[in-house]
Amino acid sequence: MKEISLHILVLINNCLAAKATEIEVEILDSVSENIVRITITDNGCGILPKDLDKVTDCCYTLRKERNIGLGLALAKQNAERSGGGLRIESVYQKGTKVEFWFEKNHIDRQPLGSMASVVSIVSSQPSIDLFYRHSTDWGEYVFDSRDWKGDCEYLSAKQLLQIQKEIEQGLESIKGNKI
Amino acid sequence: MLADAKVKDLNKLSCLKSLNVGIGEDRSIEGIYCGDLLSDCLASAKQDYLLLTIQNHKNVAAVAILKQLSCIVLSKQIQASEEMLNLCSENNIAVFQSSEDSFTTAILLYELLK
Repeated sequence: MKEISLHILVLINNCLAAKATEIEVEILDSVSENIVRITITDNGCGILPKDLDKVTDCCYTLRKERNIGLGLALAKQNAERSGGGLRIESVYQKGTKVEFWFEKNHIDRQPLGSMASVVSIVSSQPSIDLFYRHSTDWGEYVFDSRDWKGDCEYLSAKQLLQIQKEIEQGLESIKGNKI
Repeated sequence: MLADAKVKDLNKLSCLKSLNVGIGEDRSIEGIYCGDLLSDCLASAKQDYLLLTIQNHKNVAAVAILKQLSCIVLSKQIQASEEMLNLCSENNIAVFQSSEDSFTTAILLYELLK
């Protein structure tokens, strides 16, 4: 993936495949701690303890149509190549937490990419509540799709564009002056 | 660009050494993907392409299997990891090691296969 946000999108897709209805994405992007850490938590079907060690192996997948699965495998490989790592905790039938992190100033670390696009894409999914928290050394931005959906299952195209713009502005406000 | 090129034709290049001799040698080479970003390879490479990379992770083999690539060439004398090599051999994918860097290897492959 050229951007970390694409890894996040792929891993959120795993949450959807696990029939999650609530997804939390937390990002810590810190110059002082020299880390970019992404945590994705869902309330999906979870992973059996016997399978937990295998899910980052490219030759293991729960998909039935093919026997190669690269979502977690590539996220892990890229994180490890940038001085980071990936770990998974899961309780079967309760949910899964995937955490992966990068050394922020590592020369091979990919840029974070457009989280505003990822959040608006995921928010467009019906029956999914998305909570997004983005922290930097300069502050915190929080998005909750429930604030936008209310009693509606779907968001309009206009709302999704508004969401994207609001997130872009929110993230800009906590960007600080260092890259 | 490539007319009737086969994996076994790669043996004509002195910079290349087969790491799993005899595997997939009659497969075609329909094109070349050169690069190390596996997700981009997933998006861009086509069936029976040659993948030229410096990556020797098992995930390289997984991408080659998914995209039905015919062979992988590792540049800069990089050795395939055991897991990668086994997986490629099991799936009839040839693996070569090049003594040259990716740029030079790409030029030599172009001259051989054009």
